[in-house]
Amino acid sequence: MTEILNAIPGALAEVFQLSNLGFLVFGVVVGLAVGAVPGIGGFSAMALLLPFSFTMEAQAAIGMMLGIAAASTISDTAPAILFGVPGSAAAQATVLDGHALARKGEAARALGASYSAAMLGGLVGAGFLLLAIPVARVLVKAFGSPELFALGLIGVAMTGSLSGNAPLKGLAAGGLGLLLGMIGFDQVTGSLRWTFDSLYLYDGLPLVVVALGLFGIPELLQLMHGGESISGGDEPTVGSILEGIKDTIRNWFLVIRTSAIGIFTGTVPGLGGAVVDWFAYGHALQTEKGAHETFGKGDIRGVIGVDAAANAKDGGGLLPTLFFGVPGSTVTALLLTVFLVHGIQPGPALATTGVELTLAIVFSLVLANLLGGSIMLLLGKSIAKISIVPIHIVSPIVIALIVFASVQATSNPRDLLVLGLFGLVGAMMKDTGWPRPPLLVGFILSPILERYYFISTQRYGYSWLGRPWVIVSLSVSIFVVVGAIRQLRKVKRQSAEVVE
Amino acid sequence: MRLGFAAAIFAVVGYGLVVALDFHHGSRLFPLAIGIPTLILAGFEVVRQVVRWRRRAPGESDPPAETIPAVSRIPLAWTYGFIGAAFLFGVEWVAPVFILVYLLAMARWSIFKAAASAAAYYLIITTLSGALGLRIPPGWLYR
Repeated sequence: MTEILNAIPGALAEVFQLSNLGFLVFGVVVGLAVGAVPGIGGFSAMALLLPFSFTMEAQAAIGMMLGIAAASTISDTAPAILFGVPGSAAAQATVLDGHALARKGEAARALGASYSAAMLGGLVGAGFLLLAIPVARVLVKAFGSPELFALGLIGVAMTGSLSGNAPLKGLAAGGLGLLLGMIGFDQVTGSLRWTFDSLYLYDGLPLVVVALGLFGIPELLQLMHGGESISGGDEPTVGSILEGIKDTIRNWFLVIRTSAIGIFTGTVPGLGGAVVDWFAYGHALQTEKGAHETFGKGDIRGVIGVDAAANAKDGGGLLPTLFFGVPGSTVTALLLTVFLVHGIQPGPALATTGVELTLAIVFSLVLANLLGGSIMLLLGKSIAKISIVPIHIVSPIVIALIVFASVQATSNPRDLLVLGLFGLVGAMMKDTGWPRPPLLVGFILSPILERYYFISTQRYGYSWLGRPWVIVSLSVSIFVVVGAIRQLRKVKRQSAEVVE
Repeated sequence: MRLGFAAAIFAVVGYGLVVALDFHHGSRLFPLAIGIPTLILAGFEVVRQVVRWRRRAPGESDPPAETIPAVSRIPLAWTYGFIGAAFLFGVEWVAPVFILVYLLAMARWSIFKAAASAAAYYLIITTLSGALGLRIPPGWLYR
């Protein structure tokens, strides 16, 4: 602990050195810009700037990359809230309540809550990284393939609670999503499944395109049919950014809890950033008072919980990257490249000999979040005004952006066929009362579940079922399912009382 | 529509299961373990919709799940016309043309304003793609 305290002044001096600070600010600005365009995300910008970072000073390069990574997950909620189009995989669940709020004339409030929650989540994530330095090794090693499989099961169990008042349809949609996630090369046997001799399907269906189709297209079709502005009504409004910030502060405990979920999801390599928002949304839905009646219809807590978690995962994701050299995502893989190029050898030794560097990374992350969040809060009101522009002016641009984002998935025009198909499926699900989130959650979790189940069974037989974290995770899964059933019964009982 | 959609899900899952029976032993474990319960659930939903349909009085229809439907002719025609054209001819050129035509026809903008908007979109996307090294694939007809 003394080592950490002694290293603080040196780390701060390193971060606040003018050139390092300049590159961090540059990274934040680039991250905010690319994050707001659906389908691009921070990864593209990081990949583009990677060769330039090789000739920079180590701290300047790390600051710039962290700036992009942190800022892009703050600004990616704008298209989700305004158009119902997820800006990135981690902004999928923001669509549910964020877009509903925009349609109720509270876009600025939703954006204010989203940005402030993301900023706080990012700070909690960075704080966790700081506190985890002494115990990093134990923490990451506690999770093997059996634990990852069991965590995936929690996600599947959550599909019940993400189904609103239609749990059977939700489970069927979740099952369909799991099956769709199995299309392509089987990772275990190497054989092909449901590819129908199409080379395009060998790698499976692209997640970004499936998400854009399921959520982006139906929301847009609905808006175009209505013909008014996004916020609707004769006198469309956008609400207040300040109100959103107040909402976040009022729900501080939710921010802490979902940030913990984000950190945890980020810490575990292999779980993937695409599930973090659904885990957080499911948790908020299960634990917040009256959430089953209001979530999905424009409840600000649905936005706060998701965005705090999505940004907190960055801090968690740095833990295995720094102390084990194991990147948990494509973004952290690029960061790892920067470390290695600059002669920084990730590993447990960083927790003892590289404390100053680790602290500089933590402070850079804090600064990037504060800066990115503040800029977006300042711009929020102007961004929210898009929601009062007549939809016939906005919609062609949004459709063009959705299509542009889709073809970035595999750079193949067939992405558009997948987009069209899932757009139609999403629109029909919306019109017939089938919940869409379980399908997407199933699709994301499918490869995780199968991969870790086979690794666990081949490595440990069935003895892994007795491991402590597996038992805890399986118990949580059962608890989640029972909770969803109880909640459904409660809602049905209340509806029956109203009818009587 | 509800019955039709539930039946479509049932048919897709059922077909997938039949195909999965021919998979390699290790590859069919998960598809069958997930597919069979999913087929049962989808079948249950089909039966539920059939029962509701039979109990319905003549002329009566289901209450809509959404007040504004997502599946409606004009938005579908525009959106899928654009997606289809982008698939065939490529996004790069079709997108600005679509923006121009849509703004003229639906927003009733003047040709100057609509063309300026389409040009602005093209400029931004081309600059962004060039700067980030993003690849916009040509249409299916030109591959």
